[in-house]
Amino acid sequence: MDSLIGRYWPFVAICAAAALFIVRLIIKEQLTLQRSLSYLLLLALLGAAALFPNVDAWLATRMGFDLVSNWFFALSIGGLSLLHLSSLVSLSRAELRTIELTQQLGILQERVDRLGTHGERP
Amino acid sequence: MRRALIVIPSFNEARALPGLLAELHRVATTLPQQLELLVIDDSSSDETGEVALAHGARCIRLGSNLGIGGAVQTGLRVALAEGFDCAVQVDGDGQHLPSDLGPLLAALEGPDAPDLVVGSRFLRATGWQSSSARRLGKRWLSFVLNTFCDVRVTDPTSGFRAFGPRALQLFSRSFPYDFPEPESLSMARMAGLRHLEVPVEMRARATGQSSIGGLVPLYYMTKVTLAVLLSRVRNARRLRA
Repeated sequence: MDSLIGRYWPFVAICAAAALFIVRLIIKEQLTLQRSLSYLLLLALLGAAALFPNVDAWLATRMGFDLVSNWFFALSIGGLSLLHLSSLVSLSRAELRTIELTQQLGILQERVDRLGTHGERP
Repeated sequence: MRRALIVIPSFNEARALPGLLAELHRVATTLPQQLELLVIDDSSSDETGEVALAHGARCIRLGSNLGIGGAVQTGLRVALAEGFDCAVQVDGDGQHLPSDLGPLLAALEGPDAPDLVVGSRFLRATGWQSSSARRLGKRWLSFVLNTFCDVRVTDPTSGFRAFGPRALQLFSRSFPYDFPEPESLSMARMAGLRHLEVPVEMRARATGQSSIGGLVPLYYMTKVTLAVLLSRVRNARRLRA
């Protein structure tokens, strides 16, 4: 197992670097921890797959993949697709909330303007 | 006296608004309803908001561009919150004739009145009829609405509409934001609202350009067709719940 860990260490390093980059963005408050957890989880999963290739090989065989690399690609693509879908859901929710807030802000602003101009009750 | 809110969604319509608002003020004096004009300035970069206020209309300025659906829904929310009996959408580009407000509002009167009145330029086939490609698109949307949603309509993309109390309730809660007209007809049908078409005339826009140009028609037709079909399923599920 040791020789295999040595073989795949660059990929583990890339996962670790990406995770560190995300943690840095969280610390700088450019990402929220809540929204980033799933991405960190995926990186941990991919990193673990590189660290323990024997487990990978066992899983790939069980899942019916002839090549471990194909299993790895499927895992990565599946994970990224799920993350993308979750981002779409978040983005759509945020868009609907933005529209509603923009409408409410405009309506309130008009009431305040009328109150200031005509002394009307809002 | 019944109160009607005239909702005028506008994006960079500073040149078209003075004429439109003057016509609307003139028509308002001839109608039995008490009209109030509300311009929704959809984050214009010109003086749309200032022009609206200078010409005697109320004006809501949206902080960011929401598109026609978001702008219209803002007006419908105001109408519902302020207790108006109905609301009429009149586009700020001057395509809709204020003189047709009378028939639209009259159709909403009476005990057996529909909930939504749509002005159709194809019932009388006079005035500006739009290009043949667009008419083909409208026929397709009419076919989709008729076949899958049981909505019989000749002008599915007309934005010249009067909303009764039940339509105000429905669309204040939920209104399509992107190319809303055909999808809102399907929503109304699935919510059990009744609609009626009345003949109106339209004219070519006074100024500016339509947002539907280039490859947008392709996106428009695909998106609207899907939206109509999905709204049928979505609203059927809602109603069952």
